[in-house]
Amino acid sequence: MSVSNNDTSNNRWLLTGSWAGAWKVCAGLGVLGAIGAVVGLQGDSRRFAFSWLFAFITVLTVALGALFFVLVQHLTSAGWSVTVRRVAEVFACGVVVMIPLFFPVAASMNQLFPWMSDHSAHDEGHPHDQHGAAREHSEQPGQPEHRGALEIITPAYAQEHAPAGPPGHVVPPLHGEAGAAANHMSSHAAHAGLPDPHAIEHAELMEKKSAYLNRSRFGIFAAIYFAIWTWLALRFFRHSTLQDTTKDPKLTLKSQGFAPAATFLFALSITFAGVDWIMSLEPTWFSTIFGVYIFGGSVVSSYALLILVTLGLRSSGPLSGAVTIEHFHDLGKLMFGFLVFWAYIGFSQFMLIWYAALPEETTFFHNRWGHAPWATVSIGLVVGHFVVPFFWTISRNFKRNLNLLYVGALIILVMHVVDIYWLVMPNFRLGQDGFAFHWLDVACLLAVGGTYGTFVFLLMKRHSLVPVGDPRLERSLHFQNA
Amino acid sequence: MTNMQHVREGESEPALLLAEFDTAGECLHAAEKLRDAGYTQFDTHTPFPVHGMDQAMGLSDSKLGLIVFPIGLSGTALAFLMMHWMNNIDYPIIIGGKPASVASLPSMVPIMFELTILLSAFATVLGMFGLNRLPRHHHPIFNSARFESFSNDKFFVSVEATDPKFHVDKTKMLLEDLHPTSLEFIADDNEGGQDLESAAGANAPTNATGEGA
Repeated sequence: MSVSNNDTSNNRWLLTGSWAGAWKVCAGLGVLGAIGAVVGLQGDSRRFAFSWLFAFITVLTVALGALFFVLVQHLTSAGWSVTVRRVAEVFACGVVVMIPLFFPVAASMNQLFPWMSDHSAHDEGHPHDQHGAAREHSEQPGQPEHRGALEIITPAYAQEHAPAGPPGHVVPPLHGEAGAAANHMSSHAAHAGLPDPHAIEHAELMEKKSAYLNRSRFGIFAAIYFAIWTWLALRFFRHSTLQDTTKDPKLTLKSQGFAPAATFLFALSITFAGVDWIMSLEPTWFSTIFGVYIFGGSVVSSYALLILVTLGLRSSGPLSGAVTIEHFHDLGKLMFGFLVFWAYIGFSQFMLIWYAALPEETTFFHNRWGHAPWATVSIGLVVGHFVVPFFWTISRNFKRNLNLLYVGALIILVMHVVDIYWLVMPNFRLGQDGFAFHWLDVACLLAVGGTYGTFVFLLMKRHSLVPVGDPRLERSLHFQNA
Repeated sequence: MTNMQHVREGESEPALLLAEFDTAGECLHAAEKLRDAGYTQFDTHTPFPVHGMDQAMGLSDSKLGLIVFPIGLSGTALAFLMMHWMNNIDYPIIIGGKPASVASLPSMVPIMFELTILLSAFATVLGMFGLNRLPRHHHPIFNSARFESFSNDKFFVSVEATDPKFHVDKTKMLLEDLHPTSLEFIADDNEGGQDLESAAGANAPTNATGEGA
């Protein structure tokens, strides 16, 4: 399809056809999910809190990934991506609607975060007990427990708390978890008269961390994150849509000049948000690469969604001619690259913790390995979020075959949902077996995703799907991979 | 040969036909013409990458991936076998409390990753050399004095005489129709090859020219 210079009028690429009603589908699913979520909230408010957090983070990370895409295009002054940039800009603007969707998270903080002052009131959480169990188990027999200045720990106590197993047998930190909880409970019963040293240690640690992990700091930082994201997304969006009518190339330069500072703000905010909203679900655990892990998953899932939606908009009409197989090839390359990045970061986090086997660090993976059904999910994540899509999308021919690319993107997007589920949900029954899938998880995901989708697709109707004022539009329309 | 008059004075039969163009568009068009006429052994020489030239020349996708992928995977396997044999079979040793078995796979992954990258890089570079039949010390195209400007401001199309469709008159007519700024037959006088041979001395008299055109 050839497009001449004067054919780039504003109404060339409007959201028409079957996708014009996409917001109605999203709204319907959203209402359905919201009803389910409200019903579920009456039944089990704690489960609702976790399901909602999972759904909120899943959708938020996709929106932030889109913001990153827009940022990088301006940062690198990319001409090829102009025709797909508007869709990403709209997805990034969706972060605005995540603000009201955050209120249920803020309202159920007491249920979610053990560092809240009244965390001991949990009816089934017992976070500190479970930290103790995992920690104790991961230590090797015969080694003294490092308990710092806690003098209540005597060698005899440590011996009794040594994990069951044949002497001399080295327990790999990620295997043989069964029975740890039972062992732990029985030894507690035997020491009924003594204060629990794990509880004391836990309290001391929480005391130290309370300078960061407290309600007011949490609220202020959340407001800052949303302020940054909203500001960045709307600023890029406004420049771009203003250019649709004014055709002013200076707006492109403005966005590009703003991009480097925006990148710093973005990197810091997504890192801290990851720590605040996911890592602090298990406040004694820490990983310095955690923010990067969230970022990696966020970007790769966003590329997957961008590919899926752009393919849909292309086949149903609005973007046909604007987005070619060359654009999909490049989006596929970026998706593949960030897929490997995600795996690289995920493995880096795992391997250092596995190798050092420090009790306070291994708890994260114990909780995702030693308790059913999380080992299955962990393996599924490695296979489904890396091995399968890696081999699926590595070939040039697969990236240029739009049906195969569609399947690859779909796998990655679904696995991103699993990834966030795997991050959030083990904290629901921390260190306990018997976690089960609940319909509330789906209801909350529909509620959050539906609301987000409604907002995004309504916003898409208001502007051209291609930034028609961008001076590099012609270049992008005729872009070819050399 | 009846067409010796086209060949540069005092030289043997032509090795290739070289056409010079002023613009990338003309060069691209010439490539399309040659492709449509069924030529396969021709090349274009431009000062910068011309988008769409691969399709215009009718080039298929690079075969490099088919070489790199299996070699990369064998790097992964090789690293695993190496680490497994060294740490778990030949001299089993417990490091950091990790069992001397396949259960210590995470500690092998960095080596598996690195060896995959290393062998892939080797396969890429050497595979590229092999597919391009490099290194090659001499090509008759360098006998043309005009050809030097391919790295400056001119665009060239060269058709090898080894092409099954190559015919001194017909090919010349085909290219003349495209109005090149210059059109010349180039003979292979083995000059460069001989220079290299004499430079290398009497020790390496054989095969310094590599393969013929």
